[in-house]
Formats: sequence, C-alpha cells, structure tokens
Amino acid sequence: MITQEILSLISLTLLVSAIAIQSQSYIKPMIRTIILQSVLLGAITALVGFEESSYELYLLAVLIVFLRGVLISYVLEQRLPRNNKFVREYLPGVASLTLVSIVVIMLSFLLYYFAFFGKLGSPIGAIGLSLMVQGVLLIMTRKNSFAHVIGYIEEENGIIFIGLSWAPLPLLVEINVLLDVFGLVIVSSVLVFEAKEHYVVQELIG
Amino acid sequence: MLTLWLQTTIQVSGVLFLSPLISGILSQLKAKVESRRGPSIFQPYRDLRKFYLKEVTVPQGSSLFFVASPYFVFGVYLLISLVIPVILPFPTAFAPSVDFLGGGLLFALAGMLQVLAAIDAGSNFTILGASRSVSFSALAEPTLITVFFAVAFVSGTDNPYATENVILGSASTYFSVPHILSSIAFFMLLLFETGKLPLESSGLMELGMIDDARTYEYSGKALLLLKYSSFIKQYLLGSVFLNVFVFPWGLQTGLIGSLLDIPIMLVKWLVLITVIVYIEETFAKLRLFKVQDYLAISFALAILSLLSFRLGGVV
Repeated sequence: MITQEILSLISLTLLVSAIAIQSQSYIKPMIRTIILQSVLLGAITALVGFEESSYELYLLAVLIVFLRGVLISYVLEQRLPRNNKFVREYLPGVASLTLVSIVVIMLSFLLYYFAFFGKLGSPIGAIGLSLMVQGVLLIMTRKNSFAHVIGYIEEENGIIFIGLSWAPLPLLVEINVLLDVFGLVIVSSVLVFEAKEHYVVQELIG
Repeated sequence: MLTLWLQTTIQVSGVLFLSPLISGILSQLKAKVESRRGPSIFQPYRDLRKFYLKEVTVPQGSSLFFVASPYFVFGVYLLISLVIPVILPFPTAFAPSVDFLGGGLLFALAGMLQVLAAIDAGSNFTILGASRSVSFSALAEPTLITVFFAVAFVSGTDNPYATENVILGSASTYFSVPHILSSIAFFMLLLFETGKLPLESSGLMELGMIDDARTYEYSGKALLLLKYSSFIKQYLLGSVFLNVFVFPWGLQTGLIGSLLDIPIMLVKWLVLITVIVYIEETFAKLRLFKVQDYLAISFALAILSLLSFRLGGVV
C-alpha cells in the first residue's frame, strides 16, 4: 500500500517536472530538471524491482541513473557555452504554453483511457503516455537544439515508464532503449555544436 | 435554535474583529523583519475610523452604481463569512444555503461588482486596474473552481464543513496526492487574491497595483467598506486554506467553544502570517506579465490534482 502511494507520488512528480521543463526558458535549469526526472524514473524502477524482487530491474535502475542522470547531462552541460551560462530561448507565452501542455496531458489521459485501459487495466501507465506526448510537445514548441534533445530524453523516459507499468519487458529491450538515447545524444551533441537553433523551413533553403 | 443564532453571530463578529487585526499583525511583522518600527497592529482599525470620519466624494459622470457597489461588495463578503467554516467547525444558521462552488461564485460576484464600479468611475487608472484584474482573474477563477472540484472529489462532498470533517478524520486523505496538489494550488491562489508580494505590491508602487487600483476613486465611507471588504476577503480565503486544506485541527464546539475559536483561529493565522511574511521578504516582485505564468502554473497543479484523483489507486 505504502509502496503504491510512493509510486503514485513519484509518478506525479514526473508530470510536474515535465510541466516545469515546458515552462522554463533557460537551458541549464531544463537540463537539471531532466536529470531530476531521470533519477526519479530510476527510483521508480528500483521500487518496482523491489516489489517484484527482480534483479534485472535493479540493474535497469542503475543504468538509467548512470546513463541519463550522469552521462547525458554531462555531455549536454559540456555543450553549453563556457562564457555564458545563462543561455535562454525567448519564450513569448509561458502561460499559454502551460495551458496547452495541460490540455495535451488531459487528451493523452483520455486516449490512454479509451485505447489501452480496458485491455491492460493499469491506470498509472497514463502518466507514461502523457510524458511521451509532453516530450513531443517540447520538441514542437522550441527551436533550440538543447530543448530538442531534452524533449527526446523525456519521450524515452515515458516509454520506459509505460514499459514498467504494463508488463516488465525483457531487459534487453529496455537497455536498447537506453543505449538508443545515449547514441542519439552523442549525435545530437554534434548537432548542437553545429547548429544551435532550428527553424521550420530550414531544409528548403539553398 | 437560539444557541445556533448566537454562534452565527459569534462567527460574523469574529470575522469582523479578526480581519483588520490580522492585516495589522502582518504589516507589523513585516516591518520587524525589515528592521523598521512599523505601524501598530491596531493601525487598520484606526485607518477604518479615519475613513469613517472623512467625507465621500463621487467623480463627475459616474452613476448610482459607483455609490452603491461598495455596500453590495461588503454585503457579499459578509454573506460568505456566514456560510463557510472560517471560525466555527460546524454549520451555522445559513450554512446549508451555499456549498463550496456557491462560495466561489460569491467571491467572483464581489470581484465583478468591483470591476464594474471601477469602470463606472471613469478614471484611466481605475480602468487600468480593472482590466488587469479581469485579465488575471481569467486564470485565477478557474483555479479556484478546480481546486474546489478536487476537494469535492477527495472528500466525496462539496459541503465545506463535511470536507473539513473528512480531512480531519482520515490521515490517508490528508496525505493523498490530490489533496497535496490542490493545497499547493490554493496557496498560490491565496497569495494572488490577497495581493502578496511576488505578484503585487500594494503601497506606493502604483504601477504594480492590481486590486488596489480599482478602489482609487473611492473616499470616505465607501473606501471604508472596500478596505474592510479586502481585509475580510484575505481573512476568508486564508481561513478556508487553514480550516479545510492544511490545518483543520483544534477548533472547539459548543457555545463557550465557539468563543474560544476566535483566539484559536488567531493562533493558526499567526503561523500562516509567518509563512506569508517569509515569502514576501524573500521573493522579488514578478514583472506584471509574469503573473499570468504564475497563475497558469497554479491552474496546472489544480488540474493535475483532479487527474491524479481520476488515475485511481491514488487515494
């Protein structure tokens, strides 16, 4: 019972951190928040591992905390300009962005309810789905490369969360997801180095 | 029956007595933190007396509504103080007439009357205050309603007294995620509605005013009623926050108990005042257009508390 409550509390904190990232215009706090989110996800994985006494989940938790919480954030923070720590992206409408993300969360809850809940019966997976959609929304609303990478990490966090809440996937699949992000971050750190911002019609020019 | 009426009288007179006092204690404590001597804690009463003795002036071109609206606003706040658990933990004589949502609607009614009166005054500055207050209330009022929805979901009733008892009786409800989130959202809303510092600085900084700007054209007895209304509004919202959301314990029942409730509420308020002073002294004022972001976050938290309830297994 207590484990269940801790689980729901941490899961909701994941959603709150997604909204915090959504409404944040400075890059460094965004990176810090995504670290917090990944560490919380690791905590959830360890908790589920404790519930089901599965050593694979413990291993996964350690990997999540190490790869997402330490390595990726290190790579991202290295990419921030040395002389200017306060990199920001100009955000005109934080209030409307927050409201949009709330609406999107509600829509993804509804989608989860009608599409998956009847078959799987695990209500908490809705948080994973809405986390994924929040990541997509972050990528859509920002022009900044850092925000795109962070949105991708958030998406993958959502996928791992869904995997945890539905049925424990084989460890190989989970680790593949993790390594996938790791590879992506290495690619995208080159991308961040090359082009700091991306615009909609960029590919069509020249 | 007579006891019930006596207790109702105690509640209303307690609200009338405590609300300026709490405002006075707040400004005195703030002054102490800033190493000033500060006004006496009874200064709000003296201010009210001063307003009573001054004459009323009415701007040229304003209608009867301008003169009448302070009385309506004061009446609405008195009505709210009759129906929600601000001093007594049990229903007073008029309590069955209004539930949580009714209370929220009455708050909105008082705000709307003040906005209309501010527009009627015809001064640029009051209209500026009215437009600010309306554009921010567009996010604040839904938060208030949503928080009340969340509380109603958690406790299974939308009667504030029943809610208080549910939270009083069950620790698992008190520590449930929807309740925690809705309490945070309501506290953020409380800071906005009472014009506290991260959002609004009343005083001499006229450009940052939101609510106070609406009363700029008033004077004399009309200003007395509006000032008193704002004291009562602060007291009502804070007491709902204390009695229904955060600290429902300690209130006494019975006739003597209801007299004792007034000092007990004062002690509870002292804790809340300390928290508010801490926030006011540590945060810088937000730029005016950032107030919307703040309110959007509190609205988001309120919605999240609803969603987390619907997740099931949370409560």
